[in-house]
Amino acid sequence: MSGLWAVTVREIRERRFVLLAALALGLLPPVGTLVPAARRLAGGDAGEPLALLLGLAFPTAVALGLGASVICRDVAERRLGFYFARPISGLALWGGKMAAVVVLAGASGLLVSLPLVALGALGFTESFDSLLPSVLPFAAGLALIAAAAHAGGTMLRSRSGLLPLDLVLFLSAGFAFAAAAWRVVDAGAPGVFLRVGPTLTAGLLAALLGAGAAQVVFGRADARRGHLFLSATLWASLLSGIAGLHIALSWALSVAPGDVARDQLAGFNAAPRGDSFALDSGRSDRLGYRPVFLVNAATGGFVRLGSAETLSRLIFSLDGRRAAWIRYLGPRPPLFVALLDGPQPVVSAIPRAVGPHAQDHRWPISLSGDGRRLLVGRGSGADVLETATGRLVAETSLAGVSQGSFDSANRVRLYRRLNEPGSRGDLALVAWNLESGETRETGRVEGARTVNGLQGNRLLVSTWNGAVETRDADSGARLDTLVPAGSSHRPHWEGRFLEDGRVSLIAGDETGWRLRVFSADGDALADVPIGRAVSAFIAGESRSGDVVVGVLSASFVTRTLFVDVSAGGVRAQEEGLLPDMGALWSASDPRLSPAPGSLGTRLFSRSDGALVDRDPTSGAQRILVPGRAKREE
Amino acid sequence: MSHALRVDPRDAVPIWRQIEEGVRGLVGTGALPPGQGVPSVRDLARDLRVNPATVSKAYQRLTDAGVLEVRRGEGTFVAGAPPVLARAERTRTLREAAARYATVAITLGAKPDEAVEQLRAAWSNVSRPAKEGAR
Amino acid sequence: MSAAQPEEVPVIAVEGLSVRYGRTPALEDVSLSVPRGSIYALLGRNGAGKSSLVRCVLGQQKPTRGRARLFGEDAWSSRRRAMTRVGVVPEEPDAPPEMTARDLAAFCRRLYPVWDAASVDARLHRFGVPQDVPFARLSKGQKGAVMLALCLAPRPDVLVLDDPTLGLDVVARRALYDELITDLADRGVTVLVTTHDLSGIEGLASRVAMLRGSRLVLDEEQEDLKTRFRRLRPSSVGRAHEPGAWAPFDTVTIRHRDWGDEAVVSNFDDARLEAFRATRGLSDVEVGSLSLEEIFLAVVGEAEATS
Repeated sequence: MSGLWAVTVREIRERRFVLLAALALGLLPPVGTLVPAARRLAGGDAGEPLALLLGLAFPTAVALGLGASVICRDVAERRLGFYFARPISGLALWGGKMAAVVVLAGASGLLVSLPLVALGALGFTESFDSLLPSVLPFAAGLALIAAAAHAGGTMLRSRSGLLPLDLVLFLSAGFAFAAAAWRVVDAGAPGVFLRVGPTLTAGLLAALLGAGAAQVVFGRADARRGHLFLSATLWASLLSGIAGLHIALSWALSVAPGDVARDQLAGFNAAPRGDSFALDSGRSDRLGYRPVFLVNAATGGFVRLGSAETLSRLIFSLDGRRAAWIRYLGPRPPLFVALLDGPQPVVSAIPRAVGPHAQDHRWPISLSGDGRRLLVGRGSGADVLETATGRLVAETSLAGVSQGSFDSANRVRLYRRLNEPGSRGDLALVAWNLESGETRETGRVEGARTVNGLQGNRLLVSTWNGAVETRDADSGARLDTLVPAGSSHRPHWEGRFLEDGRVSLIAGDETGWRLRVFSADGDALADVPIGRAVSAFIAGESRSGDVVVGVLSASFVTRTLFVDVSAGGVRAQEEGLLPDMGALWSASDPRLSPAPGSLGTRLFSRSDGALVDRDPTSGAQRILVPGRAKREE
Repeated sequence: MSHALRVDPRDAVPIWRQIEEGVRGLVGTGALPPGQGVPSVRDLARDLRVNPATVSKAYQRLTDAGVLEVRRGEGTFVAGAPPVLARAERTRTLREAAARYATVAITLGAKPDEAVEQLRAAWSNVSRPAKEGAR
Repeated sequence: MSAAQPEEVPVIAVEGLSVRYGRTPALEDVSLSVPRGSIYALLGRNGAGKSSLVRCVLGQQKPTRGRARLFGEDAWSSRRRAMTRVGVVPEEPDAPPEMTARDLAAFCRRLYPVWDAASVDARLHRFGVPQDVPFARLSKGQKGAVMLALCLAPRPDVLVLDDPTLGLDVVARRALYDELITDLADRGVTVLVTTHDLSGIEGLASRVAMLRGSRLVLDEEQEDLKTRFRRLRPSSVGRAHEPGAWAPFDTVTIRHRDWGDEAVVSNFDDARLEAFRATRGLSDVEVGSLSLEEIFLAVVGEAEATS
């Protein structure tokens, strides 16, 4: 294609002035800094951002201007015949002119920022190396601008009756694209934009370049015919591309739990009672859509909640009949509530959060027992909302609320982390009367790291110095010290109330981790070694009263122990199974804990990634969600 | 030679024939003596503003008839001696030319005597410069 | 017709070509062929579709119906290949305005397998065209000279000239014809030329075609044309405009003049003249030949045409 080269060289040579202008413009800021007044105004660090701005704005303007004139002017002045009377193909002509525009625009961007770079920050030179891989996208972007300018210029200049049709099709394409974008936003899947974005941009570029090529190759010197080919090619490819996008989105957004190829460590957590659990897609996704599913384990019914990155933690009610979460998209993130009674979770959205703090970043903490009220934390305080309407019931400006739970519809316990100087992680226990709006600090726990549980009027607390204690839930007074401070070889802050007030916790010594169970009065009931591990956590009690312990060792080796407390030993052990790891982190509502035999104690992630429901008696595993065929390691 | 040759594109007589007869005339009157060079096809075409192919055709015919001769590498020249035509050929050529003249004359409604008178006059006109111009 | 020899394949051929712009027909069902080595003059009034035909032949425009062939192949699809062997001088000089003659030569040189750079310099020098002045600033004649030089440098087999003398003064026109004739004499190219300069092309054209409106009404060797078209001025005809008054001639135009009637006839030969004289009993009939321009005017210019 020597014709292409000849055209490119010729076009560049003819428009040398652009490069000169770029150089001159680039010299302006450094020269300007020599003037003391300007230097004071600009400041020392204005160089880098200015170089960046010029380096982007100037080439864009060049691409726009040249793109709109490089062929359009020839068409308008009827000069294309010169090329077509010579042995040069239409493709070479089009390609050569476009290549020249891209080269000129790119080179001018370089030239305009060169003086500043040379004179200015060396740091910029370093980041220059990191700019190198973005040369291709930069060139593609310039080509896109140029080709779009050409298309627009052609349509406007051709003075044919096609222009109104172009406008209509342009609006249609825009509308269809907006519809696709809306689908993505509605599904709560912003990651899709990132994943699909480059492909769409490349597709747009291809459509524009192809349309221009069709114009030149098939329209030749006839302006109207050229416009026809341009428009036909452009709109046909854009509209079919957008149609394809819609189809792809339908495929991506219709992903079901069974389509997810899970990794073992992808998240899931079960309601404390009932059959519902939330499931994260983990690493696998469709077009960047990684939805969280809310699934009914008994029926298999499910809903998609949105992409994991956009969701807050899911909060279940204690009876397992409701769940609430917030989707972080936009200035007023909507609140979502799911009713979990039926075979299929039913989600309702409360689209506009209400209240004066609706703009703050908020996270859900706890649902009331009947699921009608939701406690929401924010940095500057806490709110209670009505889940049916989103109405603000009460608010408080106590900062540092980390956990909380409802005693009743109108009585809330707040656990507030105090950050006064001199206090290391003291926790304030606050009682909040929603009717009167009054908050009252009822007690403190010094040095508390986490509240692991709340049962009746007792708190299970682990402290920074490694102690695990039961405390009075109102006054914070110490009731029992289960693990003295400093006694544990390595502090482990995992602990949970079992039924009837017993406490289970993980403690460690030189030999490794141990599961220890205490009676309601604080007497030791069992002390079972678990072995060496990276960490261990208590998932709850099985139906038969075994304590279910998940153990995570090095290199992702997992197992679950079923500990018989009365016998004081491990009844059964399943290699490769791991229960809900959410228990590793303290629940925001310490009252929440899985009922004995509930789904949370039966749901396991297998080493091949499958999610299984294990019968505690027979050990039989029912696959709820298939995993990857084999783990590549 | 070109200035002496006049070609009238509008004439019904084809240009190549006009050139051919023009050259014959010049050769016959001695304006183009034997051995004289004639312009190249290209030059004559340029001067007369006619298709070189036309000139080429005329030259070809003249060469075939022996009026002109081509010397390789040197150009085209008037043939050394008047062409010697076979008697039959000569008679035929004269008859054809006479037939053409007779047609013209009859068309104009001329009487045979008048036509012959004109012929005589033309003959003397054409041959006179040969006597005068010959050096 | 048996399979044509390669030499007999016409260089340019147009079959049933029709071109319409919207409702307006520029060309209707035009068929012609340009034999190798001929100089083919396409004549027609302004707006008669000459330029459309040229564009179709050069593969720059797709005809509404019919096809155009270059070197035996479809002109539209084989354009790029064909243009290595075709030189084009367009009606309006369309070289990029900022390029100098030097730039243009350098640009075009890369496109062709053969390029006679010396000839470009020689021609430009002959025409007095400065090599470093942007094209837009050259005079009309100089622009034409540049286009011609660029067109002849790759030694094309075919020249297509669309009204090459438009806007040129006498001197420039003469110079152009000289260049053309020289190139013709040297290389024997085939030429398709459209023009309004009928007297200038008259001596050159071997074949002549005429477009009247959007149709081709004439396509033949100029020699034959000159032979059969004559002007007749009989001493008396009587009722000149009556049908059959001029039999056995086909009259193209009939005019009444002070001194008598004259007619342009399209099928003159000696036998018919004799017959005409005999039936009319005419003593003399003045027979005149017609220039190409006069034939053109008679065929194309007059609205009235008798069979």
